[in-house]
Amino acid sequence: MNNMVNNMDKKNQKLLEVKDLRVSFFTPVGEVKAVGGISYDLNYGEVMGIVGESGSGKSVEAYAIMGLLQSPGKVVGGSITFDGEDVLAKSEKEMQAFRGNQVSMIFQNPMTCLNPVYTIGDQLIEAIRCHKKISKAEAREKSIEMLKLVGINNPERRMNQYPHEFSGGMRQRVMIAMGLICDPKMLIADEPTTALDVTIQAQIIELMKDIQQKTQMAIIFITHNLGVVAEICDRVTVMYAGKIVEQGNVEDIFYRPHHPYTMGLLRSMPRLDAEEYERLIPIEGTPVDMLNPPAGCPFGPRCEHCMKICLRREPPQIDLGNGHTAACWLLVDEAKRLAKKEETPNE
Amino acid sequence: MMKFIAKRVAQALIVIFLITCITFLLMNLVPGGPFLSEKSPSPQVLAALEAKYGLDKPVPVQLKNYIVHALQGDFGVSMKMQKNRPVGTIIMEMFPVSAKVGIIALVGAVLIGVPIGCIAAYYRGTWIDSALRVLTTIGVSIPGFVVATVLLILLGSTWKLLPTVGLTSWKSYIMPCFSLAFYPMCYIGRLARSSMLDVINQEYIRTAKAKGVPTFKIVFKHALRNAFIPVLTYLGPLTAGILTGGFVVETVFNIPGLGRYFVQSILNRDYPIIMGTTIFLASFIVTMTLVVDILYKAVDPRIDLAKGGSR
Repeated sequence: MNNMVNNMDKKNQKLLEVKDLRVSFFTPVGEVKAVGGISYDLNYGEVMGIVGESGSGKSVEAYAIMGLLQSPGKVVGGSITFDGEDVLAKSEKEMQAFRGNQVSMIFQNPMTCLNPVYTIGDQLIEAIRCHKKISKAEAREKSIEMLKLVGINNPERRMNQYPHEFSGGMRQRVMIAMGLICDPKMLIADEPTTALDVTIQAQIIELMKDIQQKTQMAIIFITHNLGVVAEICDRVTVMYAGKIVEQGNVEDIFYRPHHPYTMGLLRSMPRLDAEEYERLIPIEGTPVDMLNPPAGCPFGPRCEHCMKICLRREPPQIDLGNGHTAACWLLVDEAKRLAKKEETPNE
Repeated sequence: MMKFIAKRVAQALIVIFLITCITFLLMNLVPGGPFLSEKSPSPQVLAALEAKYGLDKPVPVQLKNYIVHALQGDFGVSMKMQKNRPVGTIIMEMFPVSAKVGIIALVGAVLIGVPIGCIAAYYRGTWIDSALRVLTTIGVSIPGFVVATVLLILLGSTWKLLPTVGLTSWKSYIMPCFSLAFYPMCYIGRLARSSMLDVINQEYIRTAKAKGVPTFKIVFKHALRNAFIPVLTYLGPLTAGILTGGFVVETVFNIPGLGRYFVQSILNRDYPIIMGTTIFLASFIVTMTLVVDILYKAVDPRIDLAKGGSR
């Protein structure tokens, strides 16, 4: 928890700055622009949710930050600045020192993410000793401490066990312990609860919230589960077809969504306070074919408010104030009106 | 664990017993005999010789006698090749010669073959992978005697770099060991490559990368151990086979090893030697298979030996 003080001090300072990031997959049938120019910032100690359906580029974007993109995936443009350093300019050696130490990542499926032939202890100790020059005994102690932190009973004994002796939820706890063991400044959680059943999901979310409060570490939480986002995040980025369609703090996104896609997502989510006659409304149509993305707004063909311009030109990001932005032609007029409103009191 | 080993040892004894019986019967079905050659002895001498070695009795009785003696540790004496020397002594004299060449070849095959597979898998699709694949494909398709002969002609005869016959200095080990190791090396390389390819795309490899583990360690620690089972399976019989010597290599390089002797004993119908070498080789293979099965557990902790050694 050495970083804690650090993280507290720097609150409201930029930790991660992604600018116009573009990632493409060069497949035999053509270039797939999985991430088509996205920009966002993340402050120290902030929790940001990245929401989107499968194939919206949310995981790919995270892999790009970690330098874990696999061929044929490639960053083709933009910049990633982490704690003042250009991540994309780092050599493979520097990336090895960066991964797990500055930023760590936990993955979707805990059942297959731990190496089956090494003990949990081995894998935890390795995670520390990759970055810190400490003795095995110290590393072991630290590992046991981390296992306790993530709520694993009897950690001394558990250290000598193999992954197949753990349940799914327990393995995800181990993954979290492994991710946190070097006190990273940021954790990327790539759908960490998707593969778990609902009660375990709740426990893991609770655990992550708890740890975030203790460590004040920044988290990027990638998910397609809006409920999870509401639970844990400060800010939300909604992605669609490799682009950010709306961005803002949790209240703005949930109570004042401005992009039709965000609204659609919210309408298709079950709510406790829904009336009995209310139905879940799915978003019509199918996700974009990323090999042939439409010319204008990627969501255009599925959008109920689609206008002519939407199919021809890409909408600009409209600033709605308070860090809330959305990319939609519908908002262009609204933005003008808002701007006017702000001007009026000054006159 | 002990129960597993006991069970397997019992099975092994049955296997060796069956091999003994079958070999004995087949051996007697083949026409000819140890004392028949171009200058066959007179019928009286032949009868006397057969009576001396017990060959005049019916085959089942001979088999029974052989087994009874074998259980007492007596594997008979050579009838022809090294007349009247005990088979056990002959094998123990020949085996170390073969084993010495064999161990070097085996270690070389593993130490080069496994990294070849790992590197090819890591650089899959690149020219490195292609080059290694060409090499290993050549290795598994060229017969051993071609490798041995080509080496002999080039290094031994044309360029006179290495001695061609016998095992006199360390230099004379190079060609036989290489000839013996080339096929298994390439085969191991191919095995390791295909199983590494499977492992390298697993999610735990990505986890290791995300932890910041250096590439070398990812390949040779995280991936290799998971990919090693198929290689290990092959290593069992290979060890037995390679340590008892290759007939071709021992013949080409004129090494007085067990492999060559085994084949010569068949050509000479030296029955006790055929039986002795067969039982020796069979026991060796059975033992190595058992060792490999036990090692599975060491490589992959998920394997439960009690349940028949499956994952």
